[in-house]
Amino acid sequence: MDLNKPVGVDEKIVGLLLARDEQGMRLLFEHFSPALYGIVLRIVRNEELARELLNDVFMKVWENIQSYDSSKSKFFTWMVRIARNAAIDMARSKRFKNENKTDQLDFSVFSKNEPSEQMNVQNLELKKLLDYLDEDHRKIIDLMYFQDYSQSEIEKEFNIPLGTVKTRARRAILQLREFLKSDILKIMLLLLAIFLWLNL
Amino acid sequence: MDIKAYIASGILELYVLGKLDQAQRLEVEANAAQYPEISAEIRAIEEALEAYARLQSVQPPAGTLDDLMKRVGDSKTARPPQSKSINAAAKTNPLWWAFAAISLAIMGWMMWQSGQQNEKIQTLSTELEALKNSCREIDLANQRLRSELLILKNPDNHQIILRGTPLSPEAIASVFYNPAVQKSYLDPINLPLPPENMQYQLWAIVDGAPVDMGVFTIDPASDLLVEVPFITNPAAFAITLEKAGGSPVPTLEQMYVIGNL
Repeated sequence: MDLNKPVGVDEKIVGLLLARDEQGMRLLFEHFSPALYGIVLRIVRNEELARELLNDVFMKVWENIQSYDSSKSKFFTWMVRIARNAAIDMARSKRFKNENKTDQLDFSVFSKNEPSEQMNVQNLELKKLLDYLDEDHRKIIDLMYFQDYSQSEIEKEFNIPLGTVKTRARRAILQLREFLKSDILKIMLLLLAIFLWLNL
Repeated sequence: MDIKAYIASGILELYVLGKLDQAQRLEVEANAAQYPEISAEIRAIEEALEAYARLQSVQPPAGTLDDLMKRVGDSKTARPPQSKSINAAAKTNPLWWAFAAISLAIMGWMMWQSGQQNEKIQTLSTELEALKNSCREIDLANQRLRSELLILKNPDNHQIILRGTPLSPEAIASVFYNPAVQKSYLDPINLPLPPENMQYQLWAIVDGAPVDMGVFTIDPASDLLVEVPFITNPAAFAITLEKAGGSPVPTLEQMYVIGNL
């Protein structure tokens, strides 16, 4: 299960990228491509486009690494912002509309019935999480985090008051944190141990 | 500011999700810089969302990495490398720095320790050398004292006390006279220091006539016996002050001590 990655990998990758070291791109891909690909695939819903988009995102990271400020956000948060913007741009482009033959994006939340490509531990863990989270809460996170909905868009489309959007986002993420806390602690300790063992 | 209420408001979640306008975003960043609780909360929200995204990971199709690396290669040849605003070395794993710092500290401490040890060894060996020397000196003195003691303990020994004359009533000396081994020793117990170019001379009185027993010097630092020539059948011993080198006949006016056998 890959809930997290070894401590210090972010810093290592950013350092390599700043030094224009291509090895940094390999590490970047290795550590972040599945999570980012998962996000862009959900937005554009087309493997071919998602794959191209993923590399566009990585090229943007490569070219704009100087503007990443580690004191303001985590590396992943910064990349998700890039990925989401790129995916939304593509979803709104002419080419996308032609290829998908639809003007209306399917913004429905991640379907539990979607055919699973790899029925592995990770998916089991995801199912556990999806069962754990309230449907309403999960929807808020998904819309904002993956689909780039603004507060007012959610208010309009789903008829949720603006203030509720904010508090629900908080409760949703708190729920998410609760669920992850126990597992992550164990995994972090394990990864830290492995990391220390590899380095020292 | 009520930090708890601020955190509970949900504004930090919106911040991480990128839903705030410029002004709100700057406000959150200013607060995060000021209050560690707020920046920690933001980090926790980011971590939760990152973990959530990772749970929904999908492996990209094979060949995606190759395409990416080709694009990176192309971009590298097409554009000159950009200047680095941040030193890459500063971004290396902090654990390494901690490790390096600790190693340096330990090495420094060890070097300092070994310097201290060397200094100590130097002092100790100097001290040892001094002690060895004084030991040798004491050993030599001890040997002389033992030999003197043997002389004094010899049952055939006679001690003749030479007492001060009216010229120098405080003066005193003694002669050890041993006919069995035919040896004599002088102990100048207390004689005034002679003036320059003058020396004391010891005499034996044999059959009423003085016999020269040689000159000697007074060493105030030493209280050792001085071996003097053995004279048979002396009746008395006396010490006079003569000019340096001695005199064939004693200057009687300058007799400091005398003692009869």
